[in-house]
Amino acid sequence: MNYSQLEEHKKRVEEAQAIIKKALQTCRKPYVAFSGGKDSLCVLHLVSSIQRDVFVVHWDYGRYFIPRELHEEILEIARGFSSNVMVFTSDRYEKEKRDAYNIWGKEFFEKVVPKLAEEGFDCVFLGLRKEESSSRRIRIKNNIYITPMKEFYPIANWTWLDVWAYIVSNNIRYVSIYDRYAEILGYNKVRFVTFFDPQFDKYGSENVDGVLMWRFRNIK
Amino acid sequence: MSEREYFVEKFLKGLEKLPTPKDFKPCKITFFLSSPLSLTHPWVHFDGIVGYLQVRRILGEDFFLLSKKTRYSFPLHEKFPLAYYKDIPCASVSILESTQYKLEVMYKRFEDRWAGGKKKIYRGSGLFRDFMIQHLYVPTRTVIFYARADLEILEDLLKDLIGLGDNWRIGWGAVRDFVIEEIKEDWSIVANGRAMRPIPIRFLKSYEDSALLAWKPPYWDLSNVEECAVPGTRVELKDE
Repeated sequence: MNYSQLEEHKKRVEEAQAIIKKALQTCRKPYVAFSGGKDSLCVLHLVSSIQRDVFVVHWDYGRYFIPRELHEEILEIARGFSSNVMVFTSDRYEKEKRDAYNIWGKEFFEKVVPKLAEEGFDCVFLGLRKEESSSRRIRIKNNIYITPMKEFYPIANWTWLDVWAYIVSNNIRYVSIYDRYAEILGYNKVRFVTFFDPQFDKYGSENVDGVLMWRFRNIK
Repeated sequence: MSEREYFVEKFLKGLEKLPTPKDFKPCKITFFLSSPLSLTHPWVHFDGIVGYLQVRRILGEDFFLLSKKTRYSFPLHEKFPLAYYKDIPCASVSILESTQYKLEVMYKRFEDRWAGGKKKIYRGSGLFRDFMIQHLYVPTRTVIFYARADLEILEDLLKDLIGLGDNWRIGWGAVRDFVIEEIKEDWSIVANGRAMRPIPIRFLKSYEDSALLAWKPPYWDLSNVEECAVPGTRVELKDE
């Protein structure tokens, strides 16, 4: 909370707001990519405070990776900001269950993105931050867009402290799972990702999910 | 002879040599640990440990050659030193001193120190892939289980146990000592009205909370998953 009073943080918030304002002047039909995570939540809040009822796009990873209660929580949060929430998913999640691997990477870009472009969306606000990884830092630095739409990264220079300070100081509702995981991992390391997902095996996520999300290990 | 046939034959021959349990008594097993217990699930199942030790004793060093891709069936049946209540093994889940989880992160990385010659190694995927391993651990000095077992056979088997929980091979949950005490009441399945292990709800008259859980070994086998009462919650067993 005290961090939010610092000039350093205030400057980053102002910088983010400036990026959004500038982007909104150039875009005809923008949307916010909202995963339900803390970073995209900040972006959604920032954009919504400048433009009401912004379009929100959410990808649903299906009931094998995201518990339905949590999915509902994400949608409730998104709908609290906008009445234009669009949810996309793939049938393959039901077919492939926990064996589904990187379906988002294929289906979102091959099916959803062309549809969004067809509907006139021309730019997207993303919650990517340089601090997250070197690949993201490079992507942001070189403006490497992975869709035909123009991408804006309002919180690119934010640290995890900025993110939490913004959430806490603005009293923004965030998904409850963060508190459960942060108790052990710490708020600096906690991430909201799909559970029991083989894609995150290499980060040892399953070990943590197995203890903290044991009810979700086996599902019908 | 196929690989599977070799292991099954060796198992069946070894099984005959195992002592047959005669007298099952309620008991409390206390393990004293010399390092924290790493977990990938909130509970350690005692029947899983006993089954594992028996199969390992039968197969000896061959146990470590078992293929992960092949499914073997090693039925212990009448040689299993734990009693059964209906189909449920009389063995509780672990009771720990604390449930305060801590995190330790380890990294598995390919090192070229001992690699001969020069060759491109892919570290993003394949055999030499880098791994970040997150260990959730509980700093507990003791782990307690309740069971109804043949105490003599059980004591002999437990001498083989090096560690409890996940990744004991790298030092987590190292067992320093253990004690088996005979007790009056059988707390292996239900104690003071609370489930001591996952119990399929079809065996229960009433239950407070349920979840999809494996209820008999091997616990990784999805075919053993069923709607069960959650350990630690209030339950009432169906009448005989």
